[in-house]
Amino acid sequence: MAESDLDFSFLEGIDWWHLLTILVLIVGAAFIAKLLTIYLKKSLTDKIKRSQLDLLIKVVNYSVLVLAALMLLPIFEVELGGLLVAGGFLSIVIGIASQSVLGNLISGVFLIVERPISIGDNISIGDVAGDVADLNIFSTIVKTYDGVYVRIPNETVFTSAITNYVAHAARRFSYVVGIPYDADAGRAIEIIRAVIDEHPFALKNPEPSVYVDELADNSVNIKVKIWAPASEWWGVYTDLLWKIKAELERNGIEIPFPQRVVWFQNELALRKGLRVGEAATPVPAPEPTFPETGADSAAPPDPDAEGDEGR
Amino acid sequence: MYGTHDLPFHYETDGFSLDFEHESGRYLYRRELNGSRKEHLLLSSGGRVIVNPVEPLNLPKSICHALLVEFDPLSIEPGARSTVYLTFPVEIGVFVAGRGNLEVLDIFSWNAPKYTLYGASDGGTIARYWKSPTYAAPPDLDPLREGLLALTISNTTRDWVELSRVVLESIGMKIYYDDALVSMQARMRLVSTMVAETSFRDRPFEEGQKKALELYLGRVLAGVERSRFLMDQGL
Repeated sequence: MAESDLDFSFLEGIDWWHLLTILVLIVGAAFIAKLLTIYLKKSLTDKIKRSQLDLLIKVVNYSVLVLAALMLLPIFEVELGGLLVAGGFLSIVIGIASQSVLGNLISGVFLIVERPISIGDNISIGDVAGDVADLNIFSTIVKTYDGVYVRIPNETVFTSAITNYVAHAARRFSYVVGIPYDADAGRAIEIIRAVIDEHPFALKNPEPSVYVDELADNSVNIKVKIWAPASEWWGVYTDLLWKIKAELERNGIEIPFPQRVVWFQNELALRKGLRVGEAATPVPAPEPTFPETGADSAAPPDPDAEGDEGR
Repeated sequence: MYGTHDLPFHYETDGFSLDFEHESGRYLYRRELNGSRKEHLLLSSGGRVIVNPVEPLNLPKSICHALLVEFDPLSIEPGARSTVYLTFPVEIGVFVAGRGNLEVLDIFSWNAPKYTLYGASDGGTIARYWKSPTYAAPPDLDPLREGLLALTISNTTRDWVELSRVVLESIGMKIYYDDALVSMQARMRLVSTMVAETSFRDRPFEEGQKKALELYLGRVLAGVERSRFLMDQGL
């Protein structure tokens, strides 16, 4: 086996004292970073936003880390100037070798500059939806609504369509409320408006919009559009729908089930619909009328005719 | 009811009761208002309770930093300065004081909270909404329900300006109270027909009124708090 060409001569100058110093520096840096994190959390949690606090903690932690690393360099007899040149070359080599990593890094920088999302935002990227748990330089961490950790590379985030549900101060959501055809739609709209007005987070302005939207198969559909603070919209959405339903029912307006009116063509069909042993109430058969057109002037089918068994 | 009281303390009126009951070395706080009820256990050997109006932006939970008071449209002539009297909703804070420290125990109100959006949905501000009549002189108000907002409007423009709302920043909101009146004084400086700046006066409306403990002052870093609101999305 060929002897390694790597030069480890700088390690010869390291003795136990140096090792102890390195250990103390690493442990000390970790301890100081932890201490500062706890202090910042204690003193600033109720004073600044969570996302700003997380960013501040991250900056402080990285600063302590860099400071500790710089303090370690003299032990290894590393000159800072040489290190910068070597680091420059090394970053070019690494960049070419790992383009996707570089892509993620650059995307991360652009995301930080553009700031389409912040920590805590309620977002959807591709098929991932949830709250932004962390924004790193290479990736974005999303906690889905099921509490699942999802790491999305920043390049994917940057090139995907991002939906941020809480970027604006307020957002609108809507329901479709079906009422029976024989109910008073005007009264139903009044009731729905009253329920919305009572809710603190259903915004006064922009005004909610409630109107008859569709004469559907089974119901008259009322469209309800409500604005809510972006941070509260889900709570309002889940809260109001049931309240609207309950209030409508309290006022005698039932939400209808799907229903269909079936007309039988003749008396036979009615009789055949009865079970065996059930006595049929004699119903006078309506006189069928047919238009006096040539094509339709054929006689109606004979109820007692052969061949009806298959119907 | 407002003021500083020694524990135990009890207050009762129609449909409302507030009670600090001492039992076996601890205090049980109970508050009932129109059927809603709150209880809290205090592990304290004694102390004092402070009941005073607080910034009306806490119920059902704190989601914004602005109070929007809407009133009937009024117009003010160019260069004029005038004071109108409006009302604002009162929220009442119960604080416990012990060993030099204060803790908010409860916030309640007789008024149903409602929120609104000032401005557009993308650049606007969520604000607590309150509809007020406009008075030419200070009206008689129930200090447990409504406070008096003395709003001094200065029109610095050369045009008549029509306005129907004022937006006030919660930080820097100065509320004063006594047993008969809860008040705050605000300024509205109209800098154009569409833009105004609002701020507060830190002084009682009447002699002898006490300054209420502020909730929103302690929630910001010293030196970076905003105490003015720029109404740049319509008056």
